[in-house]
Amino acid sequence: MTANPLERYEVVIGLEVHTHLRTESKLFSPAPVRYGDAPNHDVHPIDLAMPGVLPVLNERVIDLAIRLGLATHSTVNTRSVFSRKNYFYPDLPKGYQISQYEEPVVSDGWIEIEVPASGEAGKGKKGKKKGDSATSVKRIGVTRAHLEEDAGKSIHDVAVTGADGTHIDLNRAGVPLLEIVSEPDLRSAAEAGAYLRSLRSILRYIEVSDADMEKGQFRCDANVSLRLHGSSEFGTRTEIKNLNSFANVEGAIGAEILRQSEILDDGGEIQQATMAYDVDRRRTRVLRLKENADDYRYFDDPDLIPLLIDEARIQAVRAELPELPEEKLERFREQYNLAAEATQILVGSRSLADFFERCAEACGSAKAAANWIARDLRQELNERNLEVEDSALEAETLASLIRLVEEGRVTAKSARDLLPELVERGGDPEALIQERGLEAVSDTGLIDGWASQVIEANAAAVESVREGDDKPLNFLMGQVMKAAQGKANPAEVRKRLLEMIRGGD
Amino acid sequence: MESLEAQRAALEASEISSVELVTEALARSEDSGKDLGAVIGLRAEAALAEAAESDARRRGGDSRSPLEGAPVLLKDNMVMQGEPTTCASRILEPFVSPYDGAAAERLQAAGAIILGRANMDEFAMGATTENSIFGPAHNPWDPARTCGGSSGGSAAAVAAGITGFALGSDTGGSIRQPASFCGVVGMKPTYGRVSRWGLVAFASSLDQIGPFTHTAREAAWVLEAIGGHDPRDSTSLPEALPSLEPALTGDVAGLTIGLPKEYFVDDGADPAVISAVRQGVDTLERAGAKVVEVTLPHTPYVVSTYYLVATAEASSNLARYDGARYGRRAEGVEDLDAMYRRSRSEGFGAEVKRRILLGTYVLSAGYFDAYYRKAQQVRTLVRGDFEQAFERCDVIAGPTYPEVAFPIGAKLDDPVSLYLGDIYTVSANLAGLPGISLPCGEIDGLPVGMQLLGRALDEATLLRVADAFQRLTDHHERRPPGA
Repeated sequence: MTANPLERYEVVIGLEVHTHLRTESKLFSPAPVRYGDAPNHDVHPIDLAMPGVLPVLNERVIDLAIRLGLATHSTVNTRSVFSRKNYFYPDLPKGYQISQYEEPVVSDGWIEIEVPASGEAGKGKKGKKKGDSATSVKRIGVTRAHLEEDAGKSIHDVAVTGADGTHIDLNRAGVPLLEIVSEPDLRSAAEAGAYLRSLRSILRYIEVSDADMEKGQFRCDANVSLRLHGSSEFGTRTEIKNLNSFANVEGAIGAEILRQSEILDDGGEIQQATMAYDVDRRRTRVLRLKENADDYRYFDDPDLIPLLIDEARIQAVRAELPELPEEKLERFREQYNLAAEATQILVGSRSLADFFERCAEACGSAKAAANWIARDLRQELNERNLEVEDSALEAETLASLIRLVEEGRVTAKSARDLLPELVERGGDPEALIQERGLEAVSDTGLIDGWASQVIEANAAAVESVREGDDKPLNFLMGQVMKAAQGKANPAEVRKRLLEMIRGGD
Repeated sequence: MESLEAQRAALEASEISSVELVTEALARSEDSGKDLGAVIGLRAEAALAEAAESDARRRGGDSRSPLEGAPVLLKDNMVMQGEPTTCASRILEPFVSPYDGAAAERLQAAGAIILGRANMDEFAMGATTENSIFGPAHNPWDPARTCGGSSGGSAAAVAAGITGFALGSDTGGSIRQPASFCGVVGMKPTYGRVSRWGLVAFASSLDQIGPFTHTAREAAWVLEAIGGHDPRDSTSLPEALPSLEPALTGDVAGLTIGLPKEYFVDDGADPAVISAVRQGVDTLERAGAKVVEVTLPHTPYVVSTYYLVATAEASSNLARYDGARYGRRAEGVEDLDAMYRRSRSEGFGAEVKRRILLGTYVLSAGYFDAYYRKAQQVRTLVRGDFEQAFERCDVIAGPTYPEVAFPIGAKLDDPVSLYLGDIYTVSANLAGLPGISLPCGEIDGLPVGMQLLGRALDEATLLRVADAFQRLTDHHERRPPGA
């Protein structure tokens, strides 16, 4: 038996994503949707399933569902129906969850993911090559997306509740969700990860969900099965529940592939089961077998009328739909001609892309703006766990800093040193530079002084340069910059060094 | 002074105050109300205080409606903030509502004084008001007989003159059948006409709140107060409720009354009931109405269809009574499963359990298509029956129930025969149509009810015919002994 199961088996993965919708209030009650409030604070009699209460659909979610449908090239169904999924659990106050079953609001769409050009991923049947040679694009089918309400939380931890037993927090009960179900088109843990990133990016672009995994706003169940390469039938699948980080999704799928392949290698059969992922042991384990599957006794909720969406409403939402990630990627490639990696980074977040475009326009150099944002600024933001819109730095501020660098009035190094402060507190770069005495030194006298010292101390390098080798020049420049404490104008330094060594060019 | 109309006249003539009316009604509630088992809870202090406010409004010329100052009882499945709502069930015995239901709100906005709560079959499941933790309610005409159900307490209270009007809920006949047994008017409006916000659900697609009164005119006043759109109920109809009293012209000339041949077959209702209903129809015919035979061909299937739909919805609606958040939780339970099993086993009565089991079964995988889905299809056919019938007539007339009030306990061990009695009433719920039962005669001193069914949203014609009938007859003026 070979170590890598992928040599024998094709992996088939479908994902179910639950994403919290960006609304002020719950799906069927006026209670607010907030995170971090005291337990059972954000509840209305409807959320508590008091006798006699009735659900009323939050109108706001309709446009959000339409947006998702349009952004995933799906059909927005003009009629969809809310159903009851019946089961008993203490964090499910009504004894049923209102969901959509036979008639979902969105169906039959797809999204694109970027996959490595070589290997399995690139061979997707709907795949098509695009732009960069390192990656190719694969289409992943979106089977359906339906509206449903979240359940509350059961808290068993004595440390949290300060008392024995299970406690129930119903703040989350009734929070609006879209459950987005993919086709079984994913062929590796990496593709599953790429799909989730792409989907999350879309959800954020179209402002349907903040999709913050840490807050439980974006959760994933993965259906995994294996089959021999070349087989057209699906193997028996298992479902791994409640994966709440990208790392866990990929880790769990990898572990499940290994588990299933070991069973199959031993001549065993996969049993249909619900699995849990043990993060610490990096293994999946059976939660319950599907043979004794719950019967949810779905039926149309008689308290709600069918959700009817007319074409005019769909068109109105379409007209307001922002540019989607894939469209932006395409446009950035054509309009700015940046390095592939920088384009990916910028387009990865709508706010970062917008910031880039404003900055590029203000400073007049897309290339410089891209470099600063995709590299330096992103690093500062990541260190502080900030989104660009949460930072004090405005696009126009960064643009004026970049202009100062381009004009040689401040060195790139000094400018970079200012960045943390600008991110945290904002400010006027020009004023800051003057205040701190960071202006780049272009004074030939001063530069000549530093250059002479460097030339004297580095005879061998100087000799190479004199003989026409430019390579040591960078080293010499670095020495001069060091002597100048980073403030010398690099262009001027280079010019003076060459003049002094080669006697003019 | 026991009818709403008489109370209104006396109040408007300043012959009596609301405080006096409420005081008398409270005394009757304590006395005959308790003897009959009709009244199961009173809010005496609050009612008297509200009556005093009503009297002040009247003195100030600010009367809110024809119901101003008049006492009323609510079936104990309509919630009111700060008041208990038990649904006559052990499982809700300790429950006090944290919010106001629409019925209570609108009655109070109309100036009515909510006196207290009326007895009922547990969760509105039953036709005798025997399935109640408070014991059965009795028929004022003969206390050994049932007052009908499930809104039996409300019907008995109005018949006995405890209050001039009361509210009930009707899922398969639960207003019309007890009205028929007790000799009062009971009306189920069009589905969606009256908000269900705050009505404890039995079967959501069938439940509808409606009034008990002595006359159609009084029923019109009550419906005007409680009807109309409510955004808190997604199934509430958007149409505004028209003013109903102007429709009560006393004239039935030009109207056509349809008699479904399936309701007048030989092996159907008690012949004496059929005879009383025929006489009632003859009265209307003499007054100028045209009478035609119509057909409702799916009548043989309506009872089984109803019990599939109603129990399926009930099995889901009653899942919330789990002992976790409110109501009764069994004591000494050690785990979650035991909490559910024991709280529900101890909390629900036999009939409720029977229906939850039946409903769970019909929704189960493998049975859903054969039962629930088929029932929905038949429901569509039943609706079609009525659409066709109403092309030929304006109102359909027939018996409300196959017989008059029977002795308490007589059908306790035979739920199916009780279910079959719903044959004339459940169709209106399945099709969402308005229906009214009004007294049209008597058999051995016991009232007989005639049922009129109307087109969706056309309560006006229904009330017009009922009112015209009452102008021509005096069945509604008869009172049980001692009332």
